[in-house]
Amino acid sequence: MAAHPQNWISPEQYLEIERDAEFRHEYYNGRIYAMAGRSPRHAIIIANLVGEFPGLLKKSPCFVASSDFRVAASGRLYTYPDVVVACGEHKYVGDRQDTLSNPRLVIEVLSPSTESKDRGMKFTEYRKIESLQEYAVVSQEEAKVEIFRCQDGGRWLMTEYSGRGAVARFESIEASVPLAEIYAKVQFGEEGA
Amino acid sequence: MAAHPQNWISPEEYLEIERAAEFKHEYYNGRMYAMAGGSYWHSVISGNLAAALNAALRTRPCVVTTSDLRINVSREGLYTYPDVAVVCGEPEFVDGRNDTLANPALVIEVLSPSTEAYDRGFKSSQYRTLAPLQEYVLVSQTEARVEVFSRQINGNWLLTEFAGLDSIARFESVDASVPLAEIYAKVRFGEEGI
Repeated sequence: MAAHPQNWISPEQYLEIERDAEFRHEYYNGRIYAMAGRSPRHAIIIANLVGEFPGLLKKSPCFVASSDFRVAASGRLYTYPDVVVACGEHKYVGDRQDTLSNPRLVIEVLSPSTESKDRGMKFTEYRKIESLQEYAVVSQEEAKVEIFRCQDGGRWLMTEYSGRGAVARFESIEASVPLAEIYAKVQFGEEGA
Repeated sequence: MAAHPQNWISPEEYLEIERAAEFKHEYYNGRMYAMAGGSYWHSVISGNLAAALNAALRTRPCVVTTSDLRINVSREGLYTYPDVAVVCGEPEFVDGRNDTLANPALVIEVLSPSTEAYDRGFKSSQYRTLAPLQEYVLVSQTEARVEVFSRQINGNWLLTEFAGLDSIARFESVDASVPLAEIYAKVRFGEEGI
């Protein structure tokens, strides 16, 4: 096992600190990062998404949770996805039932300060979660949703849904969500200007 | 046609300014953006990629270009300088001059912290609108990892990830395979300042 630098924090240490913390932090590869606040538009889009799923999931063994649910990806990343859906038996890291390890669908709403992480590092780590079937990134600058679906051989197929008339298809939970719902009450710069 | 704001620059004006400019700029939808310089390792990786692809494509009618060549995705859309591009068959150029390529089959961007969001987000979405383009590739400079996005029928894109120095990246669009050991030859990871 490679030696860690002196200030390296183990996942166990992180979880212990985080359980007592007043604010949420992410963990990545030995370090703890405070989570940034979000814009109102970001919050509205998350609420719209989370609001859509319970109805769609009523007859399935799946539940939806919002940014309060900690997810462990790969042992290197612990974070709070904007939206997470898990199905069947929930699996947790360790004895405490507070860190989910088997999400089926994860959705991140992009913002300028997190876009490179959401598309880059986080997606790379999420891809290592065996139970994950889909990962979606949702723009807050325009009506656009990109869904990555896990394929055979560890490949991911990306489908882009664009415009308020489009309907995003979440195959992992057999649900379709119109972008008009995801972006309800969200105004973009050029609309209505 | 929609009216443009007063400081809107046309593609023709951009090309005229850019052809005489001392530094490179990108263009998108009426505006010009100065391009940042690359780091040492960024440049080493780009050079390795161009050399390895050149060797792999020696017997094929494909040409490898570097970040000196401008590429255009649509008339008022993005004009940019990918780190590496490959064109197979006859190159096609914008407006008759042979300095703005319109038909790359493959473009490669080496990621850097300051441009990662842009490369993964906006720039990738622009590349996806370029009809001749079959693949775009994002290359990490902090670890040995290459992500290949391939155009599928029906407008979807398939992501294949190659990670680790013993893996071999496959570029279907130009029928070439390049070991990551060659892409990252002489590159040291984990150093400050990359």
